[in-house]
Amino acid sequence: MPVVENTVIITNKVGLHARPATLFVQEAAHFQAQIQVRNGDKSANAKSILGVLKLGASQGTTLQLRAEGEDAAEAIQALISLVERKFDEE
Amino acid sequence: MADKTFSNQELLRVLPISPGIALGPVRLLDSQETPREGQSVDSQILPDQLASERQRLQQTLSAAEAELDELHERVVRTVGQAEAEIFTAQKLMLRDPDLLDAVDELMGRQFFSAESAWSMSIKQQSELLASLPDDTLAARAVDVRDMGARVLSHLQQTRPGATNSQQSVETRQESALIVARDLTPSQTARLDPTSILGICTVEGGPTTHAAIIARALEIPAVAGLDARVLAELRNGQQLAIDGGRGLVYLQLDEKQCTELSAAMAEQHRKKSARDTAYWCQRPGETADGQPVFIYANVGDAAGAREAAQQGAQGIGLLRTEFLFGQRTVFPDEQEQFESYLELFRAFAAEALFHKSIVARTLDAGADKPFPALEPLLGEWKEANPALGLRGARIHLLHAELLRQQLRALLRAAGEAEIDLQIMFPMITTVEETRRMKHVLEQVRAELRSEGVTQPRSVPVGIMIETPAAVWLADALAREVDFFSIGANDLFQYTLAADRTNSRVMGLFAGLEPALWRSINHVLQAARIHEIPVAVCGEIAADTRYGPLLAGLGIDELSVSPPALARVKEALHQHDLSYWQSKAQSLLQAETAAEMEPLL
Repeated sequence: MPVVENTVIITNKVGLHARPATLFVQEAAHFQAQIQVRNGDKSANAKSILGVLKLGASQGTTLQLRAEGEDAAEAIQALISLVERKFDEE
Repeated sequence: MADKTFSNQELLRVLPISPGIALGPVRLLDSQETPREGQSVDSQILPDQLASERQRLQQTLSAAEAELDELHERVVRTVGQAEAEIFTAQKLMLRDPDLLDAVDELMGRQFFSAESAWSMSIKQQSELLASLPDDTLAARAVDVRDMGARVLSHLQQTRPGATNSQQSVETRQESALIVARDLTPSQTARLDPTSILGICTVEGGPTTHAAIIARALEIPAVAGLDARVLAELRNGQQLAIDGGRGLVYLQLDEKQCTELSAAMAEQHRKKSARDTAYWCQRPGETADGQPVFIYANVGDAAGAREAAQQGAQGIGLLRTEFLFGQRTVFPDEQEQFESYLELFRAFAAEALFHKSIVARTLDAGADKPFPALEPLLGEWKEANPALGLRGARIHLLHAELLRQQLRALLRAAGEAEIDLQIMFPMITTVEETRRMKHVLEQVRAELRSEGVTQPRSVPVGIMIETPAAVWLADALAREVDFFSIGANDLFQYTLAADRTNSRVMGLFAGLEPALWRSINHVLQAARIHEIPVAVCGEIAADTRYGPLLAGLGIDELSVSPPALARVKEALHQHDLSYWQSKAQSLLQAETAAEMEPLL
């Protein structure tokens, strides 16, 4: 199984809160791969809204993403692009 | 924020949440978090019950998910997309893999019942969120609990041997002032602004979702009520709040009562005038902008004026009977001309949209006596008036009356410069239609040769009110420019049930598969010949059915003037594709009982 890792910095104003968190989890759910997202010592399943909220990722946070599965590369690319586009909000 | 010493105090200062005055009886609302009676929180199952318990949980999750979809829709419609997002988040929480793993483990390893496993996991997750240092994130704990309570309530209902005793906000409709410790977003979204006078809570602040929804629905609200005051309040007791200033009136003297009632009435008047005014000025269309013309049914000049003022996009049914009703002598052409002219002008003067008027020629029948016709038809007693001499049948028996009426209508339309369409009632055969059209053509030629002004083109249509017309729709569509389905008569002729006879109408739910399929049959025929189809009659004005008729393919709904704004608003709640798919499911239904849940 391919494993892909990368990091991305949260740049939108509110961070990974309510709506951005929802979009993040919805995007992750499109992929077969297991995706872990880490903020410092806190780690979450990218497909779990509760887990992602509990990361408490605010603006400026660096997220470490790790995906394992056939579509791991696409998954990481899609999630990074979403974060970099500031969740199409700003 | 609330005053500390509240006993004997009449006025409390609290947090303003949503502006407006509310005065009325208190309705105390239980917090959803309160465990229900008779439910132990740590009930266990036997290992062989595990499979069925898991299945019960899955079914429950699907049911709760469907409700969240519905809430989402409702809030998009009544409030807005942004405010509805919260229910998308709740849906994700409901399917959260971490949450479901935890629940399954409690069930599978420790044999907790679905309810117990669910309650424990929700409690754990919401506490974890609530403990986060960031307030915005911590506030999401409310959503976890809200979603959790929804699922739990379903689980309790599906528990073997459970009695359904759920008391919810939405099933109690008397107007009241809601007082609660806290309101979840779901509870607030469910509140019916027409029966909820106001909201007063202990918890909550101006930025919660509940507050945003209350403001968007224009429900006056305050928060920060002292919990000890809440404990003393009783259901039905009079209470008033001022949501703009953040006040709670515990005791009201007569003067305050009068003042607050007046302020509330004024507020209500302004709001309903604003809503109506808004919809009046808009054309009828679905949420995605697909047009459906909303016309008015009109019976006299005052009605025509009202129709224009209420935003009718035309008059879809002008009942010309008003001229003839109680008369003993038939009005002559000149008198008819003057009456029609007055009516046309009344509409044209204030019409916001098209000056288009569909005039139905005299629809007389023995069920509504016309003394003026007696000299011509003799004493009018029929054993079965609904199946007797009426509508087009009278016109053809006495073509001179039709001729006179058509001349008056055409002359008045020419004079008032409106777009006139002529419609013939009670058609059962193609021959009748041809003969009526022939009379119209003769009259048009006559007026031309006399040099009288008349509209350049006058589309001709017929009412589809009988099963005969339904089955001949393909042939009739070749003869005319439009159809108008008279749903009231079509209903009674199709179901062989007199709509004024409660003993038989009680047997029908109001919308029967047979009527629905008849309408669809007419539409199919009309589509082939590319002519528009309107529906007039009570179902067009019913906000449950009108949009579904549009979904079926009806081009125009003709309703009474007071219903115009309401029907436009209902139609605008969803995209055309939504109404289409709903209408298609209705067509599949074989019984009224199957149709009911689809509405």
